[in-house]
Amino acid sequence: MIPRLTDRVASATERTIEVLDGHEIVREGEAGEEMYLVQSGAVTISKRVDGREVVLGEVGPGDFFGEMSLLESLPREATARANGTTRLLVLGPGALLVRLRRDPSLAVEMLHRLSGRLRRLNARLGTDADFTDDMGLGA
Amino acid sequence: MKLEVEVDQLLIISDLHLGNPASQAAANLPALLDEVLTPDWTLCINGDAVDLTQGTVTGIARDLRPVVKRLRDFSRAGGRLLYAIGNHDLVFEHFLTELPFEVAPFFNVRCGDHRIRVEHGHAYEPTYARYPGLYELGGRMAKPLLVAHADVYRLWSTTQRAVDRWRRGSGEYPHHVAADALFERGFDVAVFGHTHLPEVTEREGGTFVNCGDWLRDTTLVRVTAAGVSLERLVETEDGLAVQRFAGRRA
Repeated sequence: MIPRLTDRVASATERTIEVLDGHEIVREGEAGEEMYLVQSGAVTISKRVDGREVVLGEVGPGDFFGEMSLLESLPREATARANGTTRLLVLGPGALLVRLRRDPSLAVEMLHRLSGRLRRLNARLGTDADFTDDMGLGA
Repeated sequence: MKLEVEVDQLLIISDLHLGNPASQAAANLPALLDEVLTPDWTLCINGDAVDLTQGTVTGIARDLRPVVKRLRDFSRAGGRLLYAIGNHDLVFEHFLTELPFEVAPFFNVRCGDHRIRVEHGHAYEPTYARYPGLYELGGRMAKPLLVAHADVYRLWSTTQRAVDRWRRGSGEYPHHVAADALFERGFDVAVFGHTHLPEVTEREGGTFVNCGDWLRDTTLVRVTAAGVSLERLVETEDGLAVQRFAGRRA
């Protein structure tokens, strides 16, 4: 179904949400096209590995998460859960463009994070034969 | 490039403009490093340490030598040095990495519970963002006047303050708008430089601070877990001291 024009306009603006302690913000595997900027509180990021939940880290005020799904329109790679009452600024793709016009340093921070991830993957590519095979780059 | 920085205590200075005939930094910065700052502090230069536009080769060589020596000594003693790139630094960014600085376009600082953005702020100056070449040309044209009479800077600075007041009165002040965007995404404090106008303003989402400059003044920003304050290096009967900023010098 084609979204109504008003919905499209609404999706291009930012909104703020408050999430209570322990509540899920995004769930691994679910579709989503928004990223989240933490205004206050904290968010625990976790991922299911071999049937158990592994905590990948925690993000706090000034940090962000969910940008991979926004940029690629692919399902969430991890689950994010509020750690204490948490206030978040939610950006859709249109809102991100507007935000970057106002605050270009956010783009530098996102590139910095993506570059770090790529570097870690490259390092793993060099040492993990199984991973290299998975990528179709194995001998 | 490392953007995320965690500190216990941080001193921020900006717009030293070493080499500029009007700069007070060469006379005062060595004293700050010798007598006030201990290596358990982190020192951040928030852009525009050297003035290639209006500085003379002789002035830059004279001013830089004692400052660089102190910065190296400070680093050897265990002090940490950060450098946020300003508009005057763009032509010699690569030289900065030869000094013991961590260099970045901005720093996201954690200190206690505070989340602080330290950034020079030239990217938010409308004239600079639209016409960087024209901005540079204006600076170059003023150089002969400054070399002839360093006090010309006072005239320019006073004019700048009038323009600044007009801007604030006629609409949204660009640096406040930029700081508000940072507060919306979780920062408590935004510390900018560039305008040479020392300022602490409580905004709805956080605290806006401008470091001021070391051309006409010696203002600095102190960051500890207790908070952020704008201060000034002053000479007292007992020697140099850092005191709370109480308004612009005449």
